[in-house]
Amino acid sequence: MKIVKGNCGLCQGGCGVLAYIEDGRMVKVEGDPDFPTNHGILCPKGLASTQLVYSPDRLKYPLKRLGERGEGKWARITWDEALDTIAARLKEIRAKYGPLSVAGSCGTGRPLIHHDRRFLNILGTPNRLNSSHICYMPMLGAGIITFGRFPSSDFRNTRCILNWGSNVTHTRRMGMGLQLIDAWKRGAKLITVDPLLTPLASKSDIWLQLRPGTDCALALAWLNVIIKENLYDQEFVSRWTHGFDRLAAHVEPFTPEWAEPITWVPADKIRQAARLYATTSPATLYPGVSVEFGPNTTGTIRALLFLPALTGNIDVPGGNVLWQDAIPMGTLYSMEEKPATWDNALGDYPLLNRMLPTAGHAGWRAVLTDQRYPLKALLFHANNAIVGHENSQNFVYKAIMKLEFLSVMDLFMTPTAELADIVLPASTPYERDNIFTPNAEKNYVPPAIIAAPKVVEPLWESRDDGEVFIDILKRLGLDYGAETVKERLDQLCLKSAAGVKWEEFAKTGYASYPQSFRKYESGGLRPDGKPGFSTPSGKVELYSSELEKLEIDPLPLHKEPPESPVSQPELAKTYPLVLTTGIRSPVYYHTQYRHIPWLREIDPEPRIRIHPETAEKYGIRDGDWTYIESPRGKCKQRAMVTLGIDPRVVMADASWWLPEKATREERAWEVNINNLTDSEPPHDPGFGSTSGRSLLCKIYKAKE
Amino acid sequence: MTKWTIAADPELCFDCKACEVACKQEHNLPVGPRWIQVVTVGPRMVGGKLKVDFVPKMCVHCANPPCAEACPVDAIQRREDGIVLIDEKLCNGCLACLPACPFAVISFDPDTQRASKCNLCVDRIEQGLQPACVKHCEAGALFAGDANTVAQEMRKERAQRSGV
Ligand code: SF4
Ligand code: SF4
Ligand code: SF4
Repeated sequence: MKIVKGNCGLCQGGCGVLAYIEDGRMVKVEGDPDFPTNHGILCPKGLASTQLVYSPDRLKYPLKRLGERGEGKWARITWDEALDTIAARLKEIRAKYGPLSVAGSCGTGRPLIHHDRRFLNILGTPNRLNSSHICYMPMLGAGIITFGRFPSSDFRNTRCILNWGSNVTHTRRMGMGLQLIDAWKRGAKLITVDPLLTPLASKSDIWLQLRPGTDCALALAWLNVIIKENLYDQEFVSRWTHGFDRLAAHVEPFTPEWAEPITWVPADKIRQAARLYATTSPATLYPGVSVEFGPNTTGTIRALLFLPALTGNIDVPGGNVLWQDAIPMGTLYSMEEKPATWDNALGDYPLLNRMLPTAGHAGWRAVLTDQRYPLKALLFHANNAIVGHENSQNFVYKAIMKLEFLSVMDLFMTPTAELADIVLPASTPYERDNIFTPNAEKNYVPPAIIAAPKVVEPLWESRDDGEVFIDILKRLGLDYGAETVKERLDQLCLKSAAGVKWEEFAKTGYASYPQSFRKYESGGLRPDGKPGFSTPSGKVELYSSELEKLEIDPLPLHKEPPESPVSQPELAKTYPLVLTTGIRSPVYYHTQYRHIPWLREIDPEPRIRIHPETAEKYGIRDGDWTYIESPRGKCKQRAMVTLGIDPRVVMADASWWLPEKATREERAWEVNINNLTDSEPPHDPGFGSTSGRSLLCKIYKAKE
Repeated sequence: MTKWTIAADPELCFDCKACEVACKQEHNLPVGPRWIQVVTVGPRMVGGKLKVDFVPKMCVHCANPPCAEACPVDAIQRREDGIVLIDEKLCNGCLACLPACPFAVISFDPDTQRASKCNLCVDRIEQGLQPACVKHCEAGALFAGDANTVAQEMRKERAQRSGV
C-alpha cells in the first residue's frame, strides 16, 4: 500500500487528500493534514470518493445513438469514431449556419472551465449554456462594478459574521465552512439571514427569517439604520466612496418599518441585527448563492456589498478583503483571447456578457426560436441541464429535442446524456491532472492555486475532457495552443502564484501570494498604481455611473418578486404558497452523487419543508409524498414537517433526479424542482438572472 | 491505564454527516449498518428561541455494557482499555443485543449476518490515530480518548465559545 497526495475534485473545494493506493487501486482517502485549506478534514462527498471512482454505473466507453433521440438505444464505438463523428457534424453545421451555431458548456465550472472557455473561444463562439447568470457571475460582477474586485470574506480574523443566505457548513467549498466554524468557536458573533432554520441559523446570535426574494428590501433597511444612526465609518465613507449623499437620500424612506411588511422580518429585529453588525469590528459579510437566483441580482448584491463599504470593513483583516488573484481571471478563463463574435453573445445582459456569457435560458430560447442566429449543436461536458436548468420539462427538454447535434461527456448516463447523439466517458478528478483555482472564487482568503494530480490511471476508456477538447480541435484543423493537457497546465501554472511548470508545482500542490490589506491606500488595486479603487470614480461606487449608462438602476431598489402573493394576487388564489427551491444536501453537489450508496443512504429522497399548520391545512403528514405545482409544472418530494419554515412558505430540495427509475419521466422529472422554476422574463437587466428562489405554488398529498 | 470513550457535543455539530461516511469508509460497511448516525432533534422552542439540534449517536462503550450481558454466547466483551467489541467469530447473529442497548446503536450487517457496531476504530487507536469520524468532523464536535480527558476537552471547547 502506498499513500499519495491528491486533491478531491468532488466539489469546487480543492481539499487536500491522502489517497491509499493498493495495486493501482484507490482503496481509501483521508484528508491531508498538511494541506492549508482543509487541515486533514474531508466532507462526506470526499470521503465517498472510492465509491465514485469505482462506481459500476459509470460510463465506460464512448457510445453513439441508435434509433430516435432519447430512445435509449446505443452502440459502443471507439474513441476515434466518436471524435471523428463529432468533428464531422461540427464541420457540417458550422459550414451551414456559421460558427455561432455551435455552443458548449461545462456544468459547475470547476476546473474544466479553463479548458472549456478556451475551447469555445477557438471555435469562435461566446456562448456557454450554463448557470453563471444565477451562480457566481452576479456576485463577482456586482463586486467589480462597486469596488473593481470582489470583496471576499475573511473569517479567519473576524469578530462578526453576517451569513446572508448561505449554508456553507453543508456546502463547504474552499474550506470556508471550516473557517466559519472556527471563527464561531472563537466566539465571533453570527447573524444569519435565511427563510429556513438551517444549522447555522439555529446557532446564530440573531436569525432573520425573511420572505424569499426580499433580500434587497432587507438590505436597504439595514443601510437606512446604519446611516440614520450614524453607525457608518465617516472617514472611510468621505474619503473612499462615491455617491454617499445620494445613497443616504435614497434609503431615507426605507426604514425597518417600511421593510417589515415586505420582508416579514420585525422592524426591531432588523435594527438589532444591523446594529450588532455595524458595531462589532471587524465584521464580515458572507453572501450565499441564494441572492443570485432572482430577477434583481444587480441591485440586491450591491445593496449587500454596501454594508461592508459603509462600516469600514473593506480590505481590512476580518472584514471583506479585495481579491488578489493567484492567477489572473482573464488568463484562467481565456478572457484575454475573446473571439471576435463575443459581443454577439446570446441574451442582452451587459454585465454577464462582459464576463462569462451566456445564460443557459438565453441559449435554450435561441434553439427554440432561431432568434438572432440559429443554434444547432451543443457540446456538453459535466452539464446535466435537464436536471439543473430552470423550467426543465417544458423548456430545456423541448430545446434539446430540437438540436441537430448534442454530445455529452460525463461520469454517468444522466438524463441529459440520455438525449445525446454521442456520449463520452469522463475520468474522475482522481484520474487526471488538473488545477483548482479557488482564488477565482468569490470567497477565499488568501487566494490560491491548487494542484490536483492524478493518483490512479483512468478506468475503462474514460478520458480527461481537456484531452478531448484538444483532439476535437485538431480534427477541425484548429489549434488549442497546447499539444497536451500538461502543456496547458504548464502555461497556466507559470502565469500564476505557482510560477513553475506543472510537474514541479504538483509536488507542492498549493501556492498563493501573501494576503495584503488596505490596498486602496497603497496603490495595489489600480492598473496605474495610484491609490484608490479600480472603478470609474476611483472610489467605491455607491452610485454607479456605469450602471446609469447601461440604463440599470444606479442605486439599488427593492423589486417585488414577479410571481408573489403581492405582485400576482389572482394567481395566488390558485397557487397560495411561496416556493423557494434552493436546499443543498451536505452529501450531494448539485445534480451529482445520487448513485453513491454511502451518500444516498444518508439522503435517500428529496424533501420539501412545510410548516405544521400548513401541512395540517392541506392534509399532509410528515413523510408523505407531496406534489408541488407551479404554473409551469409539478414534481413530488417527501414532506418534512418542521417549525423551521414560515407557514406561508415551502422550501424544496434542489437538483434531484432518480437514476434508478425505469422511465425518463420518473428519472428526470418526478422529483425535479426545476420543473417549477422559471426561465422567462423579467430577468435581471445586468446578469439575466431568473426567478428560482421566490415563486408561487400549491401543494397536495400524492398517492405514493 | 487509559479507559477509552467517545462522545459528541451536539452544541457543536452542524449536521454535515462527514462522520457517518468516514465511518462507512474506514470499516468498509455496506448500506444498512450505521455505527454513527446524526439524529435531528427539533426544531423546537428553547428559551423563546427556535432551535434545532443534531445529536451524533454511536456506541458509548459503557462501563457495564448491557449488550454484553444480553449476548447468549459472550461475543461482546469490554476490553481492559474500555473498548467494547463484538467478536464476529463468536457472534451467531441472534441479535439479542440489539434491544438491550439503551442507545439503540447496534445494527445488523446484511453482509456478515452479524451484529455490528462502533469499535472505536480500534486499529487506528492502536496506531496512535484518532477514530475516522473524529478526524473528519468539520466542527470538532466529536471527542475520543480517556474518559477524564474527554470531559475536560469538551468543557474547554464550550468555555472558549462562550468567551469565558
Ligand atoms: S468540500 Fe469539496 S473538495 Fe472538500 S472533501 Fe468535500 S467534495 Fe471534496
Ligand atoms: S452497544 Fe450500546 S450497550 Fe453496548 S456498549 Fe455500546 S452503547 Fe453500551
Ligand atoms: S462530522 Fe461533526 S459536525 Fe459533521 S455531522 Fe458528524 S459530528 Fe456533526
